[in-house]
Amino acid sequence: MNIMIFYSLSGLFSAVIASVFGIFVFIKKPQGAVNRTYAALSFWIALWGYAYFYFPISQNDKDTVLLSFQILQIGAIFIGPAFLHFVLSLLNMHKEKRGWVNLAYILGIIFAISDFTPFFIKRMVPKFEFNYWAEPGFMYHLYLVFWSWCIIYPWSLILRRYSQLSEFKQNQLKYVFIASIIGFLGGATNYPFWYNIAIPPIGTFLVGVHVLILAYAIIKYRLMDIKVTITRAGVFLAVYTLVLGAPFILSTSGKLLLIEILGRNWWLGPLVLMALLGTGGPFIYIFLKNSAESLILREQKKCQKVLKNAAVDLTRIRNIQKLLDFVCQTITEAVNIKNAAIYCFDAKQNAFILQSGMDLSKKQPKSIPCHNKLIELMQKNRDSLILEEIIYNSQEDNTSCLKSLEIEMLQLGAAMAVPCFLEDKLLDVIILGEKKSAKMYGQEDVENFNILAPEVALATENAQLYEKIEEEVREKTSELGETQKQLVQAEKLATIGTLAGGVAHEINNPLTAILTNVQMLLDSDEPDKECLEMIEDATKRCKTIVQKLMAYAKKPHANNEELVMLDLRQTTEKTVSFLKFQMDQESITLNIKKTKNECLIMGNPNELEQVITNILINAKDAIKQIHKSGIINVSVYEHQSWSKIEIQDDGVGIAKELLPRIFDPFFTTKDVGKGLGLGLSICQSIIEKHSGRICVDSEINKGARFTIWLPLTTKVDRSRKTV
Amino acid sequence: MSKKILIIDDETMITKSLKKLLTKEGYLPTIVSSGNEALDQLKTDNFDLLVLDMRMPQMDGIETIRAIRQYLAIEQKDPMPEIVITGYADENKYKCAVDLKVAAYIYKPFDTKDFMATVKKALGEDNAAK
Repeated sequence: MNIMIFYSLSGLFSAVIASVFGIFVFIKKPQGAVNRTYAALSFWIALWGYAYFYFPISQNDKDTVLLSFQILQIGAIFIGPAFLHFVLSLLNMHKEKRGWVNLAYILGIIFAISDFTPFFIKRMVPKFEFNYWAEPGFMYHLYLVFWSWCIIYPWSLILRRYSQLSEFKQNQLKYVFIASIIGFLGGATNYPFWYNIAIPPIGTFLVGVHVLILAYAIIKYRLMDIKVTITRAGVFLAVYTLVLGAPFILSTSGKLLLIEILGRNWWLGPLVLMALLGTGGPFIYIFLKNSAESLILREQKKCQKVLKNAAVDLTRIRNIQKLLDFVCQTITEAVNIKNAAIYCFDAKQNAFILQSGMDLSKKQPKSIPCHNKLIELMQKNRDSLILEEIIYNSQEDNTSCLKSLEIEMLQLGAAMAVPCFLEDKLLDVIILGEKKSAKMYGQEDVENFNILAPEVALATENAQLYEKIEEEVREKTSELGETQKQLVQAEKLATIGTLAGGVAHEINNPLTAILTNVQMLLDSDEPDKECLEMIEDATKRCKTIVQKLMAYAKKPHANNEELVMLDLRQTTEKTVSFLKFQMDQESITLNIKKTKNECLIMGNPNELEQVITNILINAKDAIKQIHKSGIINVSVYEHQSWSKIEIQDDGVGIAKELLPRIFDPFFTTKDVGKGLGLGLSICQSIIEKHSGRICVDSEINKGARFTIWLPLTTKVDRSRKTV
Repeated sequence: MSKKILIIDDETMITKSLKKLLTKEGYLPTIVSSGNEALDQLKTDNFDLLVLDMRMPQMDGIETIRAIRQYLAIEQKDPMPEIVITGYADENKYKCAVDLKVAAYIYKPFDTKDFMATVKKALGEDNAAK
């Protein structure tokens, strides 16, 4: 009895699988010839399987067994033509070989009719463990020839055409070939009994396996996630075979035992078991389903994690090139592909420009125009394109559109192309080459890239904006720099104006003496030694003034920013001596105190003189605001690794609230027209350029002290030229 | 009798030259180097004309003029004309001088003839000379 149940269930197994997948594949693409012929094949297998399920368990009734046999034979008869039709569709030869298909179906019909006559099944007789099995009529022998032809002919076509087909098609046919060998060998285990050969029909369930493999071959990867579906279907079948099968077995095989224990209420046993399993079934199903899915999706989840982490990192990269390189590298590593490229939209060129790539061929196109089929299709469908799918569809639907798309994909080296949208804008296209494992891109890859693509788009947009802003900032900074230069020049002129007064006064004195004495001599007939001496003194004074002026105005490094080694004591002294006369004239005593040690620093002498002059003139003005006369003390000394200049005056000082602002550009307390308010700002920038700092300490009416720190040079630097 | 002229300037080469020139022209010049010295000098002596520099340490030309005028007023002495000499053009100082109605405001370096003409005019000798 047990073996009968095995036979019965193996039929049911094939029938259920054939029904489920037949319907599923058909619904996925009803217009496709492959899907339709597969659905037809599944239908006949299902018919055969359901009838097969019935006959082993109804062995006591001869008529029922005969009817079951006749029905399952109808299924078996049409499996042949359906398989032929299916393979021809797969090879895209179904139109060309229509005659053969029609012939097969006509023969099938003839055999089907004869199935209900003794020419096909002579009678039902006991065979081996079966109470009833069919005795073949002469039509049955013919049918076997027909059946063999229906299988061997498609196989021969597969073998002949194999080498001319695409890799994808070859893979597909490989599956079909293996599946049909498994299925038909399994199914053929039913034939020996007809001829009284003692090989039991143990391979019936393999017909169901064959249906599964065929479904995998057709709808592999993209149209649905077959791995997950198969797992779910497998778990479902296992659980419900247990839920339904266990009570069934208990009520058949264990009936006698149950009657012994429970007596007349023996049926309570299977009922309780059914209730228990029925309640627990869904939970077992969910648990098994989840465990199985996490196992088969492990690789995908790992890849997903890498891409998700990458998506987070993307937002941190501001440089567009670094960003795209990072994306390319991450993708190549995560998906393990041969090559990858990213094309970014460029509005000026109205095209997608190659921005980054990994392991690209030399022929890789530098840009993709916007009117390109690939771009248009992506814009329309907002979905990734897979080369194998395009090739597959172009065989199904031989239009030029798909053909040109296929060519474009091949030129780009793309096994998959992923569009990156930001809202409605297509910003980037990621090109993915073939996987190193030679596996095809599937639904899981599409899902993974659906996570990454918008992140890439967002990050590129951000990076582009950032670069644009940076560019603008650069431009503005350069403009500002230009303006600053002009202002610095203006401030210099203002300083020169102040100095000019002093110089003019100083030089006009000896000139007056010269002119007066010369004219006196000219008016007199006699030479006057005293006049000549005065002229000599005055001329010498002029010479000294001019020398001082030249020393101050001398620009040995006028046009460069180069720093030279200088002794800060000398620079300070030179400036102080230049201003001393003017200060004297203004009743201001200018004192200088220097350290005995040299204060060597790296600096620009002109700029440093400008700083000291500026502060001294400010000090003078500050004194003049409240006193007729005053004192400015200047001191230069070393302090640890710094050289310091302190300039202290006893002038009006600076109010505490104004102290933080005095180095700000355009900040001035002087009257309008007396300065731009740039002097101290320029001083600060000069000192900072020298890696030093400047600060002020002051109280209102108590004078001010400016301190400048400049770094002393190291001993190694001291070997360089001193100025 | 020769007119007495007080020259105030901290610059010796100017004072020496002017002293020589004015002496040659028949005047009696006296030299001091600051406003304070001038005030001291006025305590013991009277002058017909003041020639002074605008820019000097401590008291500048304007302050010196004010101080001297004030002193003369207190002492009830006759005021005297002032000739201001300056080394460079300072608008504010010039305005102050104009406001004080100084006799003349001349720039260094000057022509000796122009200077003498100014001196004579200030002393009211120009017409007499003609």
